[in-house]
Amino acid sequence: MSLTPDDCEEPKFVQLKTCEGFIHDVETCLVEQMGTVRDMLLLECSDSTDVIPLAKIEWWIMKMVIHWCRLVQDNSAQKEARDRSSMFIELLEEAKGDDEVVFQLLLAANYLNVESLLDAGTQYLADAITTCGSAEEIRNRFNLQNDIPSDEYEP
Amino acid sequence: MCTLHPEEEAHLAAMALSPSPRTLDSSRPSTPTPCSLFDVCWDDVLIPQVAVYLTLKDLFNLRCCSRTAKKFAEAAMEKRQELHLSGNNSSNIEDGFRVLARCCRRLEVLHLACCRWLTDDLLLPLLANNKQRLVAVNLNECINITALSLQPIIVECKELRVLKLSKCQWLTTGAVDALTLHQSKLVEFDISYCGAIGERCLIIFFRRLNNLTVLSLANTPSVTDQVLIQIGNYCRELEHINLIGCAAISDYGVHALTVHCPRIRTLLIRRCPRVTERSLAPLRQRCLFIDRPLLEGAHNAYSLNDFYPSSFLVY
Repeated sequence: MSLTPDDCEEPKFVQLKTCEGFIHDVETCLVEQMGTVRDMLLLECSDSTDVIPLAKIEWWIMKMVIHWCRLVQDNSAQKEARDRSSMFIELLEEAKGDDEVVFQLLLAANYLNVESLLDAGTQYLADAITTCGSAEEIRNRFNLQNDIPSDEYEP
Repeated sequence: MCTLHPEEEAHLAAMALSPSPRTLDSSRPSTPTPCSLFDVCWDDVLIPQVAVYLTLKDLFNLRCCSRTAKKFAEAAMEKRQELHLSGNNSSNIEDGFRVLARCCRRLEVLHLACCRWLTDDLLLPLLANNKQRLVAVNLNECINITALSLQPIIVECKELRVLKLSKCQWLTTGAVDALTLHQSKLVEFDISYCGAIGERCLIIFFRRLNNLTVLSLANTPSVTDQVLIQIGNYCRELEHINLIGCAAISDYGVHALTVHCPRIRTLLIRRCPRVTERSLAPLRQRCLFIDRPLLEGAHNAYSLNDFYPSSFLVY
């Protein structure tokens, strides 16, 4: 099944059920971006009325993933990495998200195989680490506890 | 008493069962699942998609953060495919290199040019852990290693395609003989400024390098017309050749080389006094890049000897 955004004048929907039992009605053209769901639909050749269970995704993260897919579709001309990075930062700011939101989004993007979200999220994380100039700064940035005994430090 | 319509009762019952709709702003549950940086999947996400963007400095910083961060950094080093330390002669580089030699297991590209601190003792462990996958090795100007380090590269790196040994004065004829025996798939080779190699072993060596496309023999005194003839006969895929400072070559050798290598696009022949426009003029019509500009009134022959190949052998 493959639909272009033009085919969404009369949108078809796929129902995705997150781990709490909440059902999200997602337009088919957005589901195209979720490789896992797309493959499940192709494999099972199921009717679009079937509910697809996503046992590892919480409903609030699913909302953010759907929002991201909509942003990507609406800004399909912006495919440069830095454009996607800006979109990711906007998504976080809208949700007033912190690092935990980033980690949860990456877990969800990996599970759902949303490549664009994975690329943007991992770039964001890499930039955050690279910006830190020392181990101390990384510890402060990501709230890591220094549990290395002093005698284990290598020169 | 107010009674509810049956549909209203059903609606209220459904509302009681499903989570209340929330806006994107306040959409997080009250007790979120704890999630830290290293809870993100390492093999699928952190290593292939985050660690690839990190520099070695970032990885070494991470190693000092916590035990888990150290494990992550070393797991990332294990999967790293390229190591670029050319020109890095900072004060504690040897300690860092020992860590890399222990951790890196999937290296394909190794750039260590101008690493004067590099010794056999430092390099051999890294080569032992990565010999199966190495494709490109650059040891230009690594003056403090010996042919001992070259041995595992020559004998065990079966996928090697690029080898750079410029200014490695320790490179011997014996090492080149070993290369002849074991490495015939090289695509790029640099032995410029290697004065200890003889003409004979070069002649035999190039007979086997049928896939060579980039070759640098700059300032190698044993490069003669006979060597160029061999290159022309056997290295038909050659595209770029550097013969700067090869004083023994003449128009004869250049002509033999360029006639048999139709793909040549770059020819560097500065400071080759016996190469003249007699061999270069036809090449200029082929739109080769030649580093020596065409001078007006240039002589067609440096001397009568230019018509004859160089006849001395250098061992």
